[in-house]
Amino acid sequence: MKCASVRDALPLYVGGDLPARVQRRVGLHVERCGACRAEFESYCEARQELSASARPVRGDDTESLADAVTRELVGVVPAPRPRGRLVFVRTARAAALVAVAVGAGAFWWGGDAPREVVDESGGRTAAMPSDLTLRKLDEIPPIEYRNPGRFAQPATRVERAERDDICIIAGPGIALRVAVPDRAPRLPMNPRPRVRPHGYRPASQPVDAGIVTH
Amino acid sequence: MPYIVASRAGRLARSDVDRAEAAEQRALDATRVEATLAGDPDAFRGLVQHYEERVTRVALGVVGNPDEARDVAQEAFLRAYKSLARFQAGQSFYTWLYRIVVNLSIDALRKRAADRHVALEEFGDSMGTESPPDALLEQRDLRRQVQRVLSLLPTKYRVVLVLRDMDELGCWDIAKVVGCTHATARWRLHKARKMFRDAWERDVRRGDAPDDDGGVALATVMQR
Repeated sequence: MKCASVRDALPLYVGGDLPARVQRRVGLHVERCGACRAEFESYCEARQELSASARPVRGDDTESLADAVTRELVGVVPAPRPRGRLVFVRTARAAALVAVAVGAGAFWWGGDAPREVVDESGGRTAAMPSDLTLRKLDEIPPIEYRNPGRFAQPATRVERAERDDICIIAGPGIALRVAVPDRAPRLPMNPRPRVRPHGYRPASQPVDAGIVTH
Repeated sequence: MPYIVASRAGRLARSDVDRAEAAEQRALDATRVEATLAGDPDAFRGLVQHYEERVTRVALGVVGNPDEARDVAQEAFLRAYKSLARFQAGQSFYTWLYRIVVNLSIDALRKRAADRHVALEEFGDSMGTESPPDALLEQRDLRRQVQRVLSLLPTKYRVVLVLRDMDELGCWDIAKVVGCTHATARWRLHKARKMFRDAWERDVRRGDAPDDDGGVALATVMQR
């Protein structure tokens, strides 16, 4: 170790407050280096004076602190343990944690999930967005597709959608719109529907998908 | 330097003994706290008798005035007694008690922040009017000098230095008492020892008058 590092470590070394390995290395340096040893001894002297001043000095006429405290405590009763309040706080804390967990779970599993509704015109069962999005469907303009040629069938049943919505072609004449509500937080854990790469088509689901643009 | 090696070995040997004694004392304290809460009047007196000296010493190191330190210690025990039910069995009693003492000492310092040096000048007269033996006189003179140098340190450094070097509390316990991290406690201890050594060298060994240029000296020390 260099002298500068050792001298910087001396205030802690003098009280044995360094990690054992550093303490050993500083000790070895102090044994060899006269200048650092003089510095170390000055720290030792100051610390010894400080410790020596801590020895008790008490006059004979001084009343014991225990006596004084005992005298002051006559008639004083320590406050009881706050058991009832503690139980209430713990119960409330547990209930809050459960509520947060349930809310997070509901958001995770059902926040953006499409629900089953009856298609009024065709009488078919189709997946539609959540209530929040359904209310907004009446206010948004008709859709255009960025690349209609990418879809296997024209999406005739999707008449309204917002920009950047994701549409899935579920079959001939039926296009399902899976929209993400505006209020949905854009967190990494958010179960936003994923757009498959072009050409991806699972064998059991004859669907295609695209992003709506205006 | 054989004494360095000897002190290191002694420290290591002491640490095991200290650890066992601390665990034993902690169990005894918990028992006394439970007995006090159960209505045993002598149990709390035992706690006071055991910690009376250490608490007074810490208070004296921080506030610098024996009378005030005694008042702080007494008030700390009273507060501890009144709020003893909040003490949890898992924690150590002296850490909990020391936190009260340190907070009360800082409050006392704030109250008399304006006339700190006046209080220190009253130090010698407050030790009693009888003529004590020479050893006691020397001890009181040394304590007066130490307190004068300690009073030059900022409070947060002074508290850590007093707890470590006057009461031999470990850095982990100091961190709990002061309410900071272990690294912060060690950093404050490092800085406090350096400031104390420099101020001691300057103001006591060289015979300078700290009351005249103590602030300048401390400013010089802190700039290093």
